Amino acid sequence: MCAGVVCKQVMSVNRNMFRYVSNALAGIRSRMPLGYSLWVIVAVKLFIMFAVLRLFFFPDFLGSRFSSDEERAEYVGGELVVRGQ
Amino acid sequence: MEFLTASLVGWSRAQFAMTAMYHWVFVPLTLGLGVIMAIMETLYVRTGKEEWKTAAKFWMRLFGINFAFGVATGLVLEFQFGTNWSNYSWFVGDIFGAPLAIEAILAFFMEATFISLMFFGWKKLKPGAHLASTWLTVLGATISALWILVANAWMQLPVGMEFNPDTVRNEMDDFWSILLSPVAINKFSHTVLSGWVLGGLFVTGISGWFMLRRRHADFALRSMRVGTVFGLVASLLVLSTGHMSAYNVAHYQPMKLAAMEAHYEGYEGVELVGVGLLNPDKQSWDDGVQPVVGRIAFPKMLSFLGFSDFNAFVPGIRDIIEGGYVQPDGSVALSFEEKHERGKLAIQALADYRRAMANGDTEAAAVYKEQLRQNYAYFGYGYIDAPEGLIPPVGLTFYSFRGMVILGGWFLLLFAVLGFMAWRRDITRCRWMLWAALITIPFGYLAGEFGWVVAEVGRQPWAIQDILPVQAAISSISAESVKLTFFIFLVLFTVLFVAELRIMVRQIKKGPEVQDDACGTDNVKTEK
Repeated sequence: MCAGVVCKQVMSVNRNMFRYVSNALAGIRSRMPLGYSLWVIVAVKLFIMFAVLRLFFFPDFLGSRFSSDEERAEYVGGELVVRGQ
Repeated sequence: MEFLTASLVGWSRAQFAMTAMYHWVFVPLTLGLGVIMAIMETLYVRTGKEEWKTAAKFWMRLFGINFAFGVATGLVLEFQFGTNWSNYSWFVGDIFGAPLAIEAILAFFMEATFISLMFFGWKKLKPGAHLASTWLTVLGATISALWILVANAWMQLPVGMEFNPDTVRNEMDDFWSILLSPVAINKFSHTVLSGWVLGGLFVTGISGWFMLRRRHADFALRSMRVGTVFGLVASLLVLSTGHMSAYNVAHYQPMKLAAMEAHYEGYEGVELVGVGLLNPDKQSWDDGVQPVVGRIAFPKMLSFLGFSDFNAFVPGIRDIIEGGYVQPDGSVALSFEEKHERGKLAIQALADYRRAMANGDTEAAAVYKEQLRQNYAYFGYGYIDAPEGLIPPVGLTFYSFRGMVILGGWFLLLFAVLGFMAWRRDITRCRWMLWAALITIPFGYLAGEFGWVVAEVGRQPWAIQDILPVQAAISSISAESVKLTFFIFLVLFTVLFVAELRIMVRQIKKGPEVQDDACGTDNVKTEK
């Protein structure tokens, strides 16, 4: 029963917070539509770049394959020699 | 190694080129428009006239839109370094890393701090403090460009470093020679000034549009006057730095100069091709066929541009491949075969050194290290099997150079005539000129892109001049993955570009009487 009350309170706080944030955003949007649009564009762009592209499509080639700089130097040195022969 | 195909090299280069060119859509306007809005705000602070404040705020709003769209688009280039160009990234790590780190720490944070004060501080800061924020924002953007361009210039003229065969990295041993190399200084000034020219074109073109629509006459005339003077000064400076660029290219990247002019056979007192068509019958560097047909040329001008001497010898593609001519430093140029041989020696010395070190034979290692040092200047030639591999795409470089120069000449003329009309006559009566100003805006972007094509395509096959060609610089990854991310970037940047155009056009149509508090601007009212 106690857990249920806490759970309801948490949900209520979450709802209030969500309402507060959404009201604040709506206020910003109506008062400064251009600024709001630009912030949204910047946020979406950064999200796509870092959370999608960087994470899934652009791994650090050497960083993800080798654990030390010595190994990376060894690999790149080998690649440069092999490609030049 | 099975992945290392021409397709992989091609797609990696295409992806880098595409993202860099899209990035360059946003950057130059930030550099140019920033200075113009700061000048207008300075005029407001000095004269106290509200009209200047209105104008400064209008252009600042457009600056903000452009900045928001452009911010972080350059980061994708760094993603590519780590994934597609890992050999290159490792090979140059310390040298490329230092300017980029300074850029991130100093310039970016400076820019980010003062741009906030600039946009949101109109009512909170005193006019002088706000003006300082505006100028510091512009300075931050310009310093940011400086470090990127220093890194790029090092790739065109690698100086101030020593190759360490233990770490397989070029390690910086002279920061100042990297920062102050003639290519770095000139690349920075020429590139930033080209952004200023675009800023001038943008302001005069939009002002022309307001005049054509007979809206905000006073605002448009003020902006036109500032834009034309600023654009004219910037164009003259671009002309001067362009000359210096040609001088640097002639001295440090003669093959690029030869490709820019489709200049195959060297001689003294070489002409500069003003307009011309490449001869499709020209199939090879040594077939003797005339490379350019139907041309209009300026006698001896290429010699003058390249060496400040109307009678100087300018080597052609054949000379650079066959060697034997006297270079600007007095030495005799090696042939491709000789450079290739020395490049092979350097690569073999690297292999032998690493083997000797692994075996603990330090005496032999010292010998190989010295061999490597003596031949390192030609390291990259060891990866190029045939002389044709040294020649950049002549057609693209040749036509892009013509496009850049012809458009630059047009901008100079336009600013001069528009400026005269705006300051001395009633410019609103010359509607065709206002149309010309408006229509010229996209050509300002095009000229900047042409400039990058000349600089970057013209230096192929080198990722780092003479030291690392692109085929040695790329990672052993799948060409398909590079192709996929190429199209993802193409879609992403195209969407961004179209969205920016739409928002920009909408804000321009609203005019300087701003309803939106978006960028810290308040409700300014001006005459219709």
